[in-house]
Amino acid sequence: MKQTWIQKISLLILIFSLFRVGAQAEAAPSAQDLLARLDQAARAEAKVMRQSMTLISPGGQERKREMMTWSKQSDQGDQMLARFLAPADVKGTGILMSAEDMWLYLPALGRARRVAGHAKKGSFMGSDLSYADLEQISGGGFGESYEPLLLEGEELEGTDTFALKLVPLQEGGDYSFLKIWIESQLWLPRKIEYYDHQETLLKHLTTWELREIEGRWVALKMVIKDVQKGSETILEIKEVSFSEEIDDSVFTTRNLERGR
Amino acid sequence: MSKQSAENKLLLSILIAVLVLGMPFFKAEANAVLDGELKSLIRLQTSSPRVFQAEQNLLLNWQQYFKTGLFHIALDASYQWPGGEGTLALDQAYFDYYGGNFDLRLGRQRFLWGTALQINPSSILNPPNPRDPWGAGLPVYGLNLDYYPWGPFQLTAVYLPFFRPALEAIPGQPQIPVEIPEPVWEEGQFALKLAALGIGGTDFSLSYFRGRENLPTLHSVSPPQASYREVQIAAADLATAWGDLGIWAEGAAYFPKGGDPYFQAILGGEYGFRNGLLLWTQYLQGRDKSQKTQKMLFCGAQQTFALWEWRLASLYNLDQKGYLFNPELSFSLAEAAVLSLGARYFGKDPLGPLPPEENSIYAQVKVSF
Repeated sequence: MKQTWIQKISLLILIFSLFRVGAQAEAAPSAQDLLARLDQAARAEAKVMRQSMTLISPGGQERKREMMTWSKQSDQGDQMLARFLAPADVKGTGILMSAEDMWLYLPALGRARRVAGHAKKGSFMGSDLSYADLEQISGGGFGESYEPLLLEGEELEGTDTFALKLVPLQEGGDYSFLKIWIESQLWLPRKIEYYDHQETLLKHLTTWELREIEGRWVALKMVIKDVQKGSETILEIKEVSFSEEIDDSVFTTRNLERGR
Repeated sequence: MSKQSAENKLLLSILIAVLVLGMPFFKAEANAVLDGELKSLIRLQTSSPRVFQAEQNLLLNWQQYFKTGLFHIALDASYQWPGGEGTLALDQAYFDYYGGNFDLRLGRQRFLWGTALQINPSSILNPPNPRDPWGAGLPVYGLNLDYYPWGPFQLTAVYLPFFRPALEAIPGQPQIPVEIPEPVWEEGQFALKLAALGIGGTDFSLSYFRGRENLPTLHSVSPPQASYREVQIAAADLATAWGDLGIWAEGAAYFPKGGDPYFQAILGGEYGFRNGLLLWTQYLQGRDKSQKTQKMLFCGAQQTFALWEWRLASLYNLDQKGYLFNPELSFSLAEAAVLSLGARYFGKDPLGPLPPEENSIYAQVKVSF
């Protein structure tokens, strides 16, 4: 039986519609895909950084710290060693995170001391970031701790972003939820809002100075503002390398206690 | 000059000679590092008689790093007023060598054993400092070898060739002589420790010490005399977590020669809140050298804000009903400069065998460089 011209047009419309739906599906990835891409972009097999951390009190006084961090993703889990270089009163202080274990080395104490899970909720060396926040944005990622929900993206600083609401997978987490805006081409976070358990904005993190280094895009500057306390922390990457081989012995308490 | 002092000077001379002569044989990795801190303290004794005291303290650290180790020398200079007494003392002075699976430290040093806070029953390698009984112990000459046979395990051996006494007289009874062991090799002390770190979220260690007690014991003979008894110590400690709660435990059993065994055990925990408040506590139970029961509760809290930090440490002796409160408020004046204001309040009986302190309020400025 010959097809009528109406049938032919209907078939064309159907095929066109299917292509359009497919194209839309590709243009708008799922919330899980977005979070996976964000986490993937932040992960690095090995990373060595020299950073400065400026702490700004609600009254505007500034204190500056310098630190080196070594991080590595391996079969044993994520590992990170941070060591403070300046100023003199914190120089030599070190933090080792290896999978779920965490040790703190204070030069005055002269030995590494195990710190429990609660410490990860606490402030990282007086900053507006907790240890857990730092771990997540430094490559640990959000996927293991949060369920993503898609929000409407918007333009931030002249770039298109995807937006997600991240809801903790487990009760008793540090925040009631997070909102995160992801740069649509580079898959870097441009802004993260942290909400307290009263669902009130607690602090926000914004990223600046996006640069391509050794084939990877990196935000060289992060500004964290605690809107409830009025304090601010600026983290700036001074040097970064993704190609340096880091021996596993770096992530040991033996190395931590050497203090350098 | 006492024999002990002469021995220390001889050892220090040998150590400095080794450091100086050894330098050309090691390839320097970086320039020498000189850092330290200057502390200026004023204290008012609040109990009668009211006495005003001031103390300046300068700690200088010199370190020369090498690819396979470092030299470290620390000098401690202090000046006290009234009295105008100034002292310059060698604090730590050691050489570190880092081998493939072992680390060696030789020289005047502190050995930090145990997981408990401030008081460590398993650690008597360094004598307590009579001027600061709750602070770090006095450094001693010795050799520390850490061997890393496999994975998380660590074996430590310590040898102390000479005994350093904490006290040369019994506090409050200076007429009773204390027999000090001769600084000879035969009086050497040693310790061994097997530790494992990060096994199932737990660090633990087992240790053994053979040497002398770190405080003298009064003999009940006529004429009265005191001595540092020979002792063997078996100890264990662990640090772990229960949920978000940090937990530690440490215990030691002491077997003195010619005396009854005694023990000390500590159980502690800490919890930190999202607002930065940290609470900790630890409980000590045991017997002392004279078989007196010891029950002590330590509690503390601290919270850090941008430039401020407050701290409260307290100690309660459940047997002697003695207690101590030490609140302190610190403010960051500038980079690496901190002002601390605090008070030390002691209640009723002394807290231990060392000289009791008077109640006081104090202010301290610490500048690190």
